[in-house]
Amino acid sequence: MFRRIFALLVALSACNASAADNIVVKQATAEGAAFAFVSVNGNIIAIPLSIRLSPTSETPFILQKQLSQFGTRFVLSGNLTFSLDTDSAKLLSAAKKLELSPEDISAAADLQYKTYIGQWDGDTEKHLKIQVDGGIISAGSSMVVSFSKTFDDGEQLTGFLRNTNALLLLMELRTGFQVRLIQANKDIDEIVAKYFREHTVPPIMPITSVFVSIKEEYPEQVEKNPLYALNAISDVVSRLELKVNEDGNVVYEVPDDITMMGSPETSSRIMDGAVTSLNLDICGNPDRLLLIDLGKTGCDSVKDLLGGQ
Amino acid sequence: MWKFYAVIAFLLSAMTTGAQVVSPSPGPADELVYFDAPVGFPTFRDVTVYHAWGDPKVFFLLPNGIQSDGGFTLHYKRANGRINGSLTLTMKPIMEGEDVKEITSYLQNTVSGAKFTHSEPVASEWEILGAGFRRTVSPLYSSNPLLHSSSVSMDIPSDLTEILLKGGSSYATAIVVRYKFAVRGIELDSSASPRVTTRWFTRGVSFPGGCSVTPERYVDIATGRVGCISHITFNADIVREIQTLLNEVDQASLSVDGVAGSKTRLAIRRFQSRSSMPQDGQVSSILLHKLRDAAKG
Repeated sequence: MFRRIFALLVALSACNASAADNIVVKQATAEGAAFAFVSVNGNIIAIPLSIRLSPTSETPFILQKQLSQFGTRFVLSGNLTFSLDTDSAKLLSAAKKLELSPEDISAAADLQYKTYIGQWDGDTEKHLKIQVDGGIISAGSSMVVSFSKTFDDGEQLTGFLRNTNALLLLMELRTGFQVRLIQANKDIDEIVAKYFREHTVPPIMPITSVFVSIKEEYPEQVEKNPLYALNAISDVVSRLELKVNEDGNVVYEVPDDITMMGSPETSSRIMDGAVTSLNLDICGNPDRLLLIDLGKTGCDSVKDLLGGQ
Repeated sequence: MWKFYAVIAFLLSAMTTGAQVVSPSPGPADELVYFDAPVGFPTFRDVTVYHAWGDPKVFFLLPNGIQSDGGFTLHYKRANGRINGSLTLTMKPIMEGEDVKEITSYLQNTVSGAKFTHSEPVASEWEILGAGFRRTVSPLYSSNPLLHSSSVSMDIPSDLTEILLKGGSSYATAIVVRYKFAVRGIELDSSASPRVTTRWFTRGVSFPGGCSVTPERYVDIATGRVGCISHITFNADIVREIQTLLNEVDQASLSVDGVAGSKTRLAIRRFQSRSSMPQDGQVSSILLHKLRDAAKG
């Protein structure tokens, strides 16, 4: 089995997409894990899309009561260890659903990533997005984040804890592949700008997904220069901001006045990726929160901490 | 098997025949990681494996994780009503184990003359985080930090020190560490030409507090006293429930008297041992939750 599933991985960057019309993006889930499969001229790269918290026996959130001359305040801190869900059985199961041969699939190796904590802010009624880490990881690497939030009174604290959507772990992943440009094309610029004005941008493989959509809608124009179209889309996506919408979903925010920068007529490396998120429901499990001053766990015990306020 | 050699052939071809692909000529003694030629497994193992630039038979191994090597030591002192601590941490990248053996064994059997090497980082730093605290330190190394244990020391603020000195912190992730290391290698630029570059990699690990598990590592430097500064007292009802559950789950034969005596603490340690918990023998809410879960089956 081990020999059968062994595959030599060539990073996306080694894939020279000389015919961008062969780019296909598919997604599948298996046993709670999600994967994007990106095919560039027959090379299929699997990108894990699910965050998995490490199954440690330790409690990740600590609530601390602090007394000072200004009164009582509460500090909620979190220290989380996590990784991308790269379980091979799940990967193979997801590939099977898409009728992909496991032997044709390579795993994305180095991924550029940025990690954010999305904290619900009761005053603005929006999620505050704070970048807590960033860099390069291998898909199997363990990652850690740490954050803290201070509450000036018990009401703020309990409101935050009661909101099951108050805390999100967000991760932006990107990996690259090479395309060769031919020449700039103003028609494609206009099509791309129009598309972004009229459509929402998917958080999973936005560049290649938008490319596939535009190619379906404007096959004649795109086929004249598919690689330029890909690069133009990449140019727009690289300028988009991530935000958490009212429903707690992660979306790309597209400004009304999208403008095209005009790509240079040279080869270019396209960086595409995915946004993945994990809802950190602190009260969903009594083992997730430790009230350090009382030695008790779970949100049910918070009232004991507030009792002495 | 043919796929493996096909890709090797592709890589060799790319390195030797492409008009724009020119080797920066690192000599055999100065091999560099070829970042754009990782050797991957769908299973994403404990290490990441790369080809060396210019020699497909040479493989670089980089760790995917780090682990505690002896945990940490906290020295603290009281001043002006606050407790300030100094933390010493020892860690080691994970570069050995069954997964690593399996990978190297497979490659040795597949690629004739396969050789393995370890990259020596050109820089590395530790980032220590916890309870609003964040500090980056760059230790000096006398040997390859990817292969040996490293220690770092730093002062930590009062809030974090107090967390570590409370008995309950043995059950909480109190500190997380990011180990960042920079490795020199080759990547293809936007025109597919090789260039020497340095990439920073990040690995993470978490640490619980442990003043009730390894009290000797928590030292008041003014008095020499060791261990936690506060233990949690539980009422007799909770102790009774725990004794009942230990009798039910582990056939501990304890008297249900609400007193956590030596027999009860020994039974708690046994349960903690098989539940992968810190073995401090102390009554706690987490112990109670675990016992309730175990009783449910």
